Amino acid sequence: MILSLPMRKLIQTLANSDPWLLTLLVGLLVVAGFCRLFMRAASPVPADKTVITLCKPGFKRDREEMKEFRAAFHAKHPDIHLKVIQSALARKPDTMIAAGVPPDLIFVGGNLLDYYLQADALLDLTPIIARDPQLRRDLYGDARGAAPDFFPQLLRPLERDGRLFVLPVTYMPFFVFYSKDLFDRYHVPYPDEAWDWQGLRERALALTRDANGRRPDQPGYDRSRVVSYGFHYAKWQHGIENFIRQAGGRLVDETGTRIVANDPRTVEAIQFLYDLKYVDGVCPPGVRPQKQDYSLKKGTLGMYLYPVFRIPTLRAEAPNLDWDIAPLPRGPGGRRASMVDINSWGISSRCRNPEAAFKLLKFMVSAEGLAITNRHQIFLPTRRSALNRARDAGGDLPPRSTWVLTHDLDHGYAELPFATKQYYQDVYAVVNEHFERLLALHNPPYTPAEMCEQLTREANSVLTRDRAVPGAARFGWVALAFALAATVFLVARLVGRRRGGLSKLQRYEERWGYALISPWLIGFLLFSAIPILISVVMSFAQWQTLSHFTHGEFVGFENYRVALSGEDPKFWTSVWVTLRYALFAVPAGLIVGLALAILLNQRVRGIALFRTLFYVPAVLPAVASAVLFWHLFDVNHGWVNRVLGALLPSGGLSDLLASFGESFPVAWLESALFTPYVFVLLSLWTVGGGMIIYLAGLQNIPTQLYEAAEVDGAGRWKQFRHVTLPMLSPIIFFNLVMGIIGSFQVFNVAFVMFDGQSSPGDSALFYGLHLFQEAFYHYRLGYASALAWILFLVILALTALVFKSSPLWVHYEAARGKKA
Amino acid sequence: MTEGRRTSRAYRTAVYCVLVIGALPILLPIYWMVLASLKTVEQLHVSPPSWTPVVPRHFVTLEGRETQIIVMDDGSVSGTKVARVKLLRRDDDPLRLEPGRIQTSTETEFYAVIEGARHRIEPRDSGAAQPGQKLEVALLDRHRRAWIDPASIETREPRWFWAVLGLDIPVRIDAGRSPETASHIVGWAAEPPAVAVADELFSEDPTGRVLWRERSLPAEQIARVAQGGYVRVRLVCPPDGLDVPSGELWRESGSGQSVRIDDRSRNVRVLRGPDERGLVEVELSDEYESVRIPPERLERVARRVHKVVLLGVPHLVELVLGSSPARPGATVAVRVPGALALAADRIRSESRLEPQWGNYARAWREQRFDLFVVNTLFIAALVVVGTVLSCGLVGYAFARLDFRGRDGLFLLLLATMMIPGQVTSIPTFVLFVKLGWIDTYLPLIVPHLLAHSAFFVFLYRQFMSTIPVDLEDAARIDGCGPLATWWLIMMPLSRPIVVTVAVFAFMGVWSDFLYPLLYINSDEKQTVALGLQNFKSAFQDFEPQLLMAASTMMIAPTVLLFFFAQRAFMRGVVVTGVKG
Repeated sequence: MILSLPMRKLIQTLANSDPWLLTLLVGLLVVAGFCRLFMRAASPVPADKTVITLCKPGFKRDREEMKEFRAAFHAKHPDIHLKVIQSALARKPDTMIAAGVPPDLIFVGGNLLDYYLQADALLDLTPIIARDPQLRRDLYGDARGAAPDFFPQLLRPLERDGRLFVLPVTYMPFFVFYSKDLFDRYHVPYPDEAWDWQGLRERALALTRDANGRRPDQPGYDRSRVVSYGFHYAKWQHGIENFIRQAGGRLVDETGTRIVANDPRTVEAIQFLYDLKYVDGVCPPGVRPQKQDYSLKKGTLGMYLYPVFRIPTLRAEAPNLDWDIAPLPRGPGGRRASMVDINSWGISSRCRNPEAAFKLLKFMVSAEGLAITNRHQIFLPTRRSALNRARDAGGDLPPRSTWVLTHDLDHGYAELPFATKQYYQDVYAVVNEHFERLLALHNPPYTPAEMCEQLTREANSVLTRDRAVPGAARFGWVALAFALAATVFLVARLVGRRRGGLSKLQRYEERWGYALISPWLIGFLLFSAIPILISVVMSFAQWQTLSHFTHGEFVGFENYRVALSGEDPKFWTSVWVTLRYALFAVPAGLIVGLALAILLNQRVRGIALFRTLFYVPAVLPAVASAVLFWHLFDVNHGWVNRVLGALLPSGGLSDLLASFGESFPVAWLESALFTPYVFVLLSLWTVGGGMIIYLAGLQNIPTQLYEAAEVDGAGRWKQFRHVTLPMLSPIIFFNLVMGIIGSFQVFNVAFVMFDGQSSPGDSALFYGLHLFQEAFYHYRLGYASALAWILFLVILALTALVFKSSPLWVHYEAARGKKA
Repeated sequence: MTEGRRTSRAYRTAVYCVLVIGALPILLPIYWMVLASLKTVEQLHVSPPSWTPVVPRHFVTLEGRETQIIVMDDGSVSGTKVARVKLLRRDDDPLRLEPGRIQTSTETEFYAVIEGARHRIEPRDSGAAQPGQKLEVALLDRHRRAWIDPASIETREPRWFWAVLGLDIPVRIDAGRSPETASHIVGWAAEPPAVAVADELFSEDPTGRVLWRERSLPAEQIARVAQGGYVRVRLVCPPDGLDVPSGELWRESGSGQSVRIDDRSRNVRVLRGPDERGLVEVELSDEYESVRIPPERLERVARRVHKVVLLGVPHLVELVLGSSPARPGATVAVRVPGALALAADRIRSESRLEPQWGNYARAWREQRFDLFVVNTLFIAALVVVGTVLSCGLVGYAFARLDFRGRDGLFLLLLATMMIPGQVTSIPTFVLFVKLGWIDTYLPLIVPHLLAHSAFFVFLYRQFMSTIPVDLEDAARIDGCGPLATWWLIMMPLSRPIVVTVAVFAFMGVWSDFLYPLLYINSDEKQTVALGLQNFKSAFQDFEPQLLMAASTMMIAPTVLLFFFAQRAFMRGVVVTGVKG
């Protein structure tokens, strides 16, 4: 066979090439190939099956539940392959909907129905149900008066104009979990069907004891050494709303358009909870699940108002604890109220196989599906038959008082938690933030009445904020065309600068030049230039939540105005958090980095080892270092608390802590006071990156300067002051600017530390995290783009400062004798 | 300070001291992480913390022999000087007690035969009863009182309680408030037994009877439940008991009451029943032992209250007899609240190194880490190859080839380094959505095949500029085109930069969190960083040692790679660091 010339040339080239490089590249490709094979084997792609996707984020038990559920569904419908997506990102389904690849089945939490309906994300199930007489009967009963199997109270709130978009699968009632052991120990009567707030308070007081067995209302009670607390409750909005409704108050009026949290009855409920914690002192100080110091399991907590999903946890973790559940207490005036949150599933409006998806949905609410759900007992089934079976299946496991399970539905006092017609998630965030600040954190900044006033004001301002300007121009391909044109213009300007006759050789080289940079040019256009320009356009537009990308509306500078005018309070919070972080982290990083660099510039044996050592934290993945620091500062097993615990009796540390309003053990990451400094410490720990730059600078300082200084009689300090510092000043300045820029982009550590959720008092809401949350939690793509551009402008300004310092740079470059 | 300058020995020593002191805070967190990953959960909670993965062993002398204990809190935190300890069995030297020292208390049930039927009773004020005098008792299953002869009272230990319709009749033993008088205090709980039955089942005849399981049972209506159409009744167990299928019975399995001394629960677990010498081996502990009873063993579980004398103090304890660890396969349900309290100075301690390597295996299995690692390696391998080649090519073009607009384009390239990733993240996301690349690795790989990192291009360009042009000219004379020159001359000579770029690119992929978070949906496509984050979310309440094992496994490759490639790496960092 005759090889063509280019082919032969290629082979010749390869044969002559560097064996080391070739081995590296071919080796990597072989590794990739093996990985691919392994991946194929580990997750075979189902052929000739309809694939239905379902997205259910969650914990370990959710994973186990979905595993079983999937197996059962596959056994029943072998032609359908169920793909379950479980992500760390709580809002993953929304991301997928926004991305236009929604999961076929969408989980619709209690109050999010309107949110998804606005985005047109759900398929109308009414016609499908109409074709299914059995399901119709189960849902609505029949003409002969047979009772519906679904609890009507859980179905009715989901109907919109007589149409049904979702099927309720499970619901989440609240109970009071109580430890019979602790009640017995102090001879306190168990909560009964008729108990009320007063009864709750009395019992809680009787169950709260210090190390000497004294109750809080007895003289000599030692608040610092509490052995058991009487009452704890779910601190998020649903848990607290129970009390608000029992008092007859509301958070939102009936129309769902106005916040009425300043209602005196609402205030009364909040005041009651406030007094329980701060006056009676019967609630444990821990605020987040991390702080598990006081729990039913450990026998250090008497009562716990919590949703039903505590049942499996308690069964698993405390198999020998004697516990039970009781209905919620009656409010003043004997009013009963209990929140139930309905978990329902709908089919995506963009689902390709609604038939198959409906089969899955039906399987979910079937006896078999509900039995699986129930086996993991996260929530209760919405069908009476399934609920009865579930209750019986519990066997001899607690709780014994199974009548409590349906008590609120049977007696008709189950109520849905508040919902607003629009901006529910924003209002929810405001409500939760205030509840947390008043009732969960230490030292609330206001009284309950003040909190309610402030909450009402802030939440109402969110509700009345009109984001999209009606009638504005549609966003669409115009933007893309604009972006393309602008880019081509820019590139053409840059390229077309030199004109004139070129030799053949030059033209040859030019062609090769363009050919070789073409990968970058294509990549630059696709992944940098066009996105940047689109981003500019997007920052002047707004989208309704989750709606399609082309449905944006131009709103001019509205996004920038909202951010800068403080209408989005989180903007300035995030700026403040970031600046405060920079204020501590950047100077500390500069000083420590420089000190380390000088230290590591010493000519002693084995210095290379130390250089490596000091640089190691800088190469660790941010996720891992965040997890590590999260562990170091953990309230229970963290090193910091452990060491402090060992030192505490000897020193005045406890006094010091007390002056901060803290006590030992300190919940560092639950305290708005300490959290920022944990991040500062983390940044100091990874100071190696800046250090290495100093080191490079130090090594480039000509030795003659030091020799000259020595001749002049300068000591070490004078040499440092008059030679090292001036010579390093451009680098110090460079590190300063880079540090500030870097702190504006902090994201990974903040996200990992708090799982992407809100931090205590938003103390870790870094700018980058705020931007991410706006973009991918709230889907305000336009607003988030505006935030990104504000960030860019800040960075641009800072970088301009670097260039302003160019005289220094030029001097440095000249000294090094190298052209940039 | 710099070369050529002589340093004294004292100076060098001082430098070493400072270096070592400085290295401590750098290494300590990493050491702590590795250490935590090798500990048991209990060890994580020991205060003050141990600096090695030791399992400390503490001993006290009990009954004349040294017995191993676990110190839960040595009093240094609470400042009590009293240690709370858990007693451990040691195979070679178990704690053995004479049965005589384990005293069975008198907590019992009482029965009396009245009108031919046996009834459970509650003696009232037994101390006042004189011989021959009749005693007032409460008939517990008839809810009325009777006078009976104390002599006719028979006693039996409680075994189980009834439960009807899943509702237990809340009988409970009010035991041991004071051991001397506790023997006769047996009582109802505050609430009478009650069940809810449908209205039609409840006949209105004066005796109040309910048809239940085809039997007419005496019942007393307590309340009419408005909505459900149910009435609540108090159901009376007939003398011969209810014919209830065992599935509907709730049996007291030894997990119910605890005995209190000084307002604290004390429990003991019998590890081995009485041996030939009549000794019982017990374990006292503070932990909540979660051992389940297999249902078939339920009948064998009997509950007694025992007293044990330890350290000269009599303690009432609860033990569970029957199936025990002595019998293989059998498990026991034990609850062990409360602990022994000892004066801290009575404890003798010694430690043994026992790293828990099993944590790594468990962490690996908890999530599909093998798959995550393979996924990440797959992405990393392609990204590294793509980056090394494409950035090298572009860097070469910028360094050596002359074409129109080269300097302008290079400036543009440098400018892209300045733009924060957040600016492009949203449109890029939309772009990948439009391309249908969501939930594939393409968004994570393809940009890197197209020289996405301006930084690496810059690195190559800077380095290749320093390579003498003569070599290139020689290659051209030999007939090499630009591509061959690049491949045969420039790339082999740029080896330090190739290493730096490869290491940087690998680390970038390995630590990348945000982009996989956005673009990867499926579980089986997740990367290591995502897996670790999932791990943290799912396990944050318990087993931190597993999380630490997982993070150690995650950082290990980066640290190893760094150590192997550090020379080239440092050089690359220095070159780039200055230029940003």
